[in-house]
Amino acid sequence: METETKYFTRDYIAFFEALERNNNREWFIKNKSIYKHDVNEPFNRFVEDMLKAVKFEDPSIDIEVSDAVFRIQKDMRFNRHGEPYKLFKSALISSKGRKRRDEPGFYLEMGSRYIKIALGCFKLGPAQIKQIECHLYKVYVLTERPRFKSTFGALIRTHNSLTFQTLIPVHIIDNVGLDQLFLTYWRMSKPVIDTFKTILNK
Amino acid sequence: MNAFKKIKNSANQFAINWARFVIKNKWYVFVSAVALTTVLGLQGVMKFDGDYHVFFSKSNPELEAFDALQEKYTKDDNVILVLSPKNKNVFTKENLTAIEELTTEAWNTPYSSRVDAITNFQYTRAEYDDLYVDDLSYDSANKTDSEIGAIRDVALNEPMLVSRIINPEGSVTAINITVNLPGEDSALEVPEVMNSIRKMTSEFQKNHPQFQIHISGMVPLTTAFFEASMKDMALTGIMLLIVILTTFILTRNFQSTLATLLVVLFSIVSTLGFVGIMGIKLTPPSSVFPTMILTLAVADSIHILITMLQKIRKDGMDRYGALIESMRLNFMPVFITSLTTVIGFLTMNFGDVPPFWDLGNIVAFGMTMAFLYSTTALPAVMAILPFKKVEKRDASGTSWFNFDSYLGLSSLVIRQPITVAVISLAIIGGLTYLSTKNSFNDEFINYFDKTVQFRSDTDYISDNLTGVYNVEYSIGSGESGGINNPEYLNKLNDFENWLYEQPEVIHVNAFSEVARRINKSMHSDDDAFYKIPDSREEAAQYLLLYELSLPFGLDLNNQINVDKSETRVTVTVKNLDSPSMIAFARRGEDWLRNNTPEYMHAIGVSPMLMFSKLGFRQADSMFTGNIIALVLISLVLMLALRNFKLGLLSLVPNVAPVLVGFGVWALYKAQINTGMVIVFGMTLGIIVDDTVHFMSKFLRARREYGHSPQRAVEYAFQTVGKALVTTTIVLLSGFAVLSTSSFALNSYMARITVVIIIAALIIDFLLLPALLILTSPIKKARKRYTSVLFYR
Repeated sequence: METETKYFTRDYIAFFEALERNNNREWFIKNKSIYKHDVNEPFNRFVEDMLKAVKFEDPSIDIEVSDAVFRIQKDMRFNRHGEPYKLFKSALISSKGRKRRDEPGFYLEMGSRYIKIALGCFKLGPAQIKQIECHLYKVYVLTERPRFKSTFGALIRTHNSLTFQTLIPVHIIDNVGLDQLFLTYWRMSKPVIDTFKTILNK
Repeated sequence: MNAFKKIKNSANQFAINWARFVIKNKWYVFVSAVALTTVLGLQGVMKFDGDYHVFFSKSNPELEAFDALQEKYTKDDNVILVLSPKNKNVFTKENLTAIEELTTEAWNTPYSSRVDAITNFQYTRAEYDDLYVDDLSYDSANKTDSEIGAIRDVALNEPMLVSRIINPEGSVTAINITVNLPGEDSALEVPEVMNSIRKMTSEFQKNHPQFQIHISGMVPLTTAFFEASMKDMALTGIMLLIVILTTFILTRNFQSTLATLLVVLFSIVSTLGFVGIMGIKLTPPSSVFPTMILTLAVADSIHILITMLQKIRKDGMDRYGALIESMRLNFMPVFITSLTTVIGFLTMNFGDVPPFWDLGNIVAFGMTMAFLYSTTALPAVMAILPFKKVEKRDASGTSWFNFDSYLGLSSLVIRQPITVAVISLAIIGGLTYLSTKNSFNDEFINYFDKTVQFRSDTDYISDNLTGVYNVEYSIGSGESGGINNPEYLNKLNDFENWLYEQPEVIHVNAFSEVARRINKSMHSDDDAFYKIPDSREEAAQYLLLYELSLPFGLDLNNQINVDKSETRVTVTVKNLDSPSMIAFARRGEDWLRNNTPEYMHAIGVSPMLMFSKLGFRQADSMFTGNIIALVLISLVLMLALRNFKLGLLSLVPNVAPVLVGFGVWALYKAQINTGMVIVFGMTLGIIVDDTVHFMSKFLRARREYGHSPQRAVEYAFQTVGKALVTTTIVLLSGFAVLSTSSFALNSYMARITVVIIIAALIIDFLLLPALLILTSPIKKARKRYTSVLFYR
């Protein structure tokens, strides 16, 4: 990937700041062209390039952009009176894409306040969690290394997920070489993701 | 009956009928005046706007350029807290801990977007292959002495800190809080910020009494403007007392004093209503309107009252007869004075400074109401109030208000008109020449005198830490992302070095310094790499890594624009006067033009530059307004005097006082500010009063009584000398109070107005009569009624 590629401008951040103040359908429809130009297209392009680079290093991850990128609309079936739009764009890079969140993967989320990078298992059943818990020491071997630990911190457990995450400042978003930076994070995450995969496939 | 006589008679009759109507319906007239005042007064709303932006019209090019720069980067409204520890050493555990604490607290300031201090300065260092970007001093309480020594060494050798956040001796430091005000209502937002700052610093000083704190910045500047407006409005109270006293001393009559007070109050309250109806937000220049209206309204009333009292005391007339006669004699002169004053103030709309438009319009309305009330409510009140019958008095003795006092003065002029004229013109000529030695200076910090906290704090900061004035350039690279281009960065570096060579420069904040520092850090802090990166890719990568390490609020958005095609260079300079500031900015622009590609050319902008150019801009735009005022007022005088030659001659006593005023100012200060540019239009209407009265009496004596020019001059002195002196004293007292304002735009304007008013009286008593004698034909004038201003 060319390090001179620049994907985003600060208009990306500005859009989400405005969306936060106007999180309703009417506003979104009125500003859809801005969303497409400043947010959706650059994000998709970025994810596409990430996928190409990731596929080169891990051929098992062979998904399309549409399989990786989440919709900006929230699922209103369980949130009828809430705000209809998320305040970020996000993508899950794994071999099975966003629809199979039980598959360990690399998650990134870009909003107006921060960029979140997470890795691990995002939607597990009880049995899967128990399975991983039994073999967590294999993960710790990798995650306790100083470089990983200082970047991603400690394991975050919820009732259906086991993840590591870090937040980085969103003001870097308009720099060139963003793809290389995220690829670096992905490379750091890959051994841990592979270990999760191995445990779950046993 | 000829046409002139008809006009004289109709004007005469109108004034008499008016006076009779008012006297006959005195209660109705008085109640109507009260009702009108009440109705208008209920609309009165006083809102203030202290934002320095109000001084610039929307089309002001410097403001447009400055706003464009702030749009590109971030707004740099700020509060700077300068901390001076008593032990003169910032780098102790205790002091650094306190600074850390205050820095953390400063993030809670409303609307704050960034806090820069010595403790949270993002210091880059390399350890083998790792790049660390951390706060320069965190957890200072647990640092050892050697660690603190190391921090001191870094800070005092860091170009981005020295003379900006820390002084070279390490004894004074600053915390700069950048605020991003929404801009919806500065009257609410600014006090919110300042109250928070004041509370925070006062608590800090309680906990850390070893520190002295001085506060400055654009937000405190706005607050100072706001507080100056409030203080100047309070001068109205003092002025009111002086006016009451002056009126009582001059008239020696309680009823007159009460009537004058009522006219003044009615005028001011009605004007407040106008301010509310028009939605005008008051600013330091426009907030002096009560004092101005008060002064001018009293001058109107005094003429009517003094004539009335003279008729009662000297001619033995009864109250109503004296009132009618006074109205007959003074209605037109008062009308013309009011008209010319209104014209003079309305010409302020030609200027380029919106607060002075407001001042002109408000005072013009106030003068109109003052004329209305002094010809309705004033006579009504004088007709209502009981009056003790006074015996006719002989005009004898050597009282100051006696005819004889003015005979001495008139005899000097009559005996030696040529000498008086030549000497006067020579003095005026000399002072006019001196007036060209004045230069504009609008250092906005100096708008406030040293008694104002903001001024004294800012002076301390500029003496001990850093300059408070700056110039900014937005320098483009010609392409999106071009700021990583080494060619661009090297040129920027050259510009930075050139700026540091200039004697006016204290500090330069440029992106080239960031690039050099990161490059050095990325090469294990090797000094050989304290230079611009060699390739674009390197520069881009380093920038990304550096930005990745910067915490929230301390990113480079205030230096780099949205698409990374331009960077902002901020040059902090010493205190410079306006011409020097403009010249310095231009030198920077010239350097860029001569040494960089076209896409790097930029113009210097800053609030100080905006103020520096404001005076020149105001003078240029007011030139047209002043000419129009002069033409209109001269036309009014020609019509009033019914004499083209005398109308032209009146230009001399009308214009000369202003030239004398500026000539004297050149000896006193030699520097003028934006507020003084308006004095010509403003004082023209005021000083024309003297000319009108004197010339009209002169003409009456020539045409009605067939007097010689010499006797006519004598007659003019006898009849209007006292009134002219009286109104001058009243005007002087008003503007003298205003000259004590702590806000230089107002105090300088008032001081020069005092000089101009005194000069006007002297010129009207010396030069004008001399010119009238010299330019009048020797043969006896025929009896002709040709002026609307004389009624006998």
